[in-house]
Amino acid sequence: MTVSFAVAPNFQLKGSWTDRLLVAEGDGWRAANADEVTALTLSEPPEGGDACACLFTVPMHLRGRFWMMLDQEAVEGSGDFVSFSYDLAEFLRFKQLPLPNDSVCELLLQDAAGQLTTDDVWALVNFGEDPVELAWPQLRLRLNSGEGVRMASGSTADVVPPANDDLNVLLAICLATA
Amino acid sequence: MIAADHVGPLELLVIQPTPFCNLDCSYCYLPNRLDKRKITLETLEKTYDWVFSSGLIRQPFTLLWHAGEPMVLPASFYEQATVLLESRNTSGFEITQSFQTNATLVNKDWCDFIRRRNVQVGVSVDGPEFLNDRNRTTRNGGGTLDRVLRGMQVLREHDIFFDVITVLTSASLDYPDELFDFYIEHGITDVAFNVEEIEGPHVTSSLAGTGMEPRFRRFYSRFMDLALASDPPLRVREFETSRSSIACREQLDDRRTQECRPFGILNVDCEGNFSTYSPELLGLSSPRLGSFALGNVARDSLESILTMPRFLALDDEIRRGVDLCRESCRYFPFCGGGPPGNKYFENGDFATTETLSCRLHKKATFDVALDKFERLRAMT
Repeated sequence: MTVSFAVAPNFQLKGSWTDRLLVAEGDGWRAANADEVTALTLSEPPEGGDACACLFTVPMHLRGRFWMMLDQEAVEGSGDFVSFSYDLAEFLRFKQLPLPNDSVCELLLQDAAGQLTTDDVWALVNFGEDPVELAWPQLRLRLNSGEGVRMASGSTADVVPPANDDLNVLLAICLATA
Repeated sequence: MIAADHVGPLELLVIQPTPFCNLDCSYCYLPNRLDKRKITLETLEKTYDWVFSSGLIRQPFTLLWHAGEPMVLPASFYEQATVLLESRNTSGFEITQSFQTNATLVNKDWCDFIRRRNVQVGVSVDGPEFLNDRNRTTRNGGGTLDRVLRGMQVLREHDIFFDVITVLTSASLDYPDELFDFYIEHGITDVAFNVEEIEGPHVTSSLAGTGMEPRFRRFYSRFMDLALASDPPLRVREFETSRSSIACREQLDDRRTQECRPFGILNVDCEGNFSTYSPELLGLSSPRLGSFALGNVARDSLESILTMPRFLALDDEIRRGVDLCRESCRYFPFCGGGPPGNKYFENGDFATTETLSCRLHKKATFDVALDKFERLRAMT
């Protein structure tokens, strides 16, 4: 299956597709060229479905809340992940990207040895400072800090582990069956 | 002649130091933004004398430099203008000077003047680049946000407080969180929203389409949730206006607002021509009512204006418009009558009621504020 990508309506992302899409070349990866970007992306997602992966970005104030919540949890054990998830859902609903019914938010930390896939994941948000890459066969999508992707239905990607001692810090919005 | 107790009090003097603006915003209502004429100290002297001899001033009194980019003239000019103002203000009125600016020309000289003279500054900026640079452009269509941010940074480096006016267009309504982030990121604590209005040469508004009112309410409600939850809360002029109009409801019942009463505002252009009511009327005219400029500070006394048939016709039409608002609009006790300029430019007649500005800037913001107050009260 070929994955296609679009920026979700009502969102503005910095940078271009050539900064985000990587294609396999030999043993490595290179930025997608203009023709490949044209083939892989849509100017807007098709209405009424999740046939393509939709990129979005989480506002700075919610990112700040996320890290404050983690700090509170680490220091006092009082981080309120449920309230935070509710606020994130409110934001996405305002943006007309509502969470599916009964979906569940999960905090995922991935180290260099960690294996993560997007099975049953509706959307994934990179809350870490460094970019995170999702991998499909011959194709990768780079999610910068604060960016998220609503997955295309039927498309599963692997989350590329960090190459060093860092952690990928992700929030997964999982479908109810997960 | 109009009854003396229906005139003034004068609370706001808007002086257009030049019609010129170094930007070319797509929604601007000014007709002559390429006109580089500048007001002279002689004209200013006559303006001040007109104002101080009118007997209309009520404190707090504000002198607002606006309607064109005021910082096109150097800070040294305003220093001279301030000395002149002080010398003509023999009654010792407390006067606040205020500049509404795009901030692109702010420099150290300006900051020194602003601090020395305790001048208030309002910066016009529409949020992040994808919103601001859509409409607030140079004459060759280039973006302006970088220059505005640089100006804001210079103000901050000199510890100068400023508030911000953002014009909301249709494109803004999907981005309350991004606007909120922008204000927080740039240390902005006081925000005012204007809506893209139909005024003068700007004959359409992106907010005039169908479905805009619910979108606007949704935007404003979301923004206010963010603003009220922030620590410290982000102050939003429209919310504060709603709060105070609820608190002062009885006082507004029989009073015409600043913009609706004759000589509540005096608007003076760079040649000394003056108008009253909505500042947007200055420099424009009506086929039916003639020029909205009623006279010139060098020639025409207040008394001569009050007997002028053109002014009497204008005031009568505006007064009838306020009466219609009073009779037909349940928001009147909180509003006091829609802005005459909007009525004229949208409806072609001052003796009318609802405008786009009423629907969005008054009614929607009021309803949202009331909803927030009730929720806050329920929580406490």
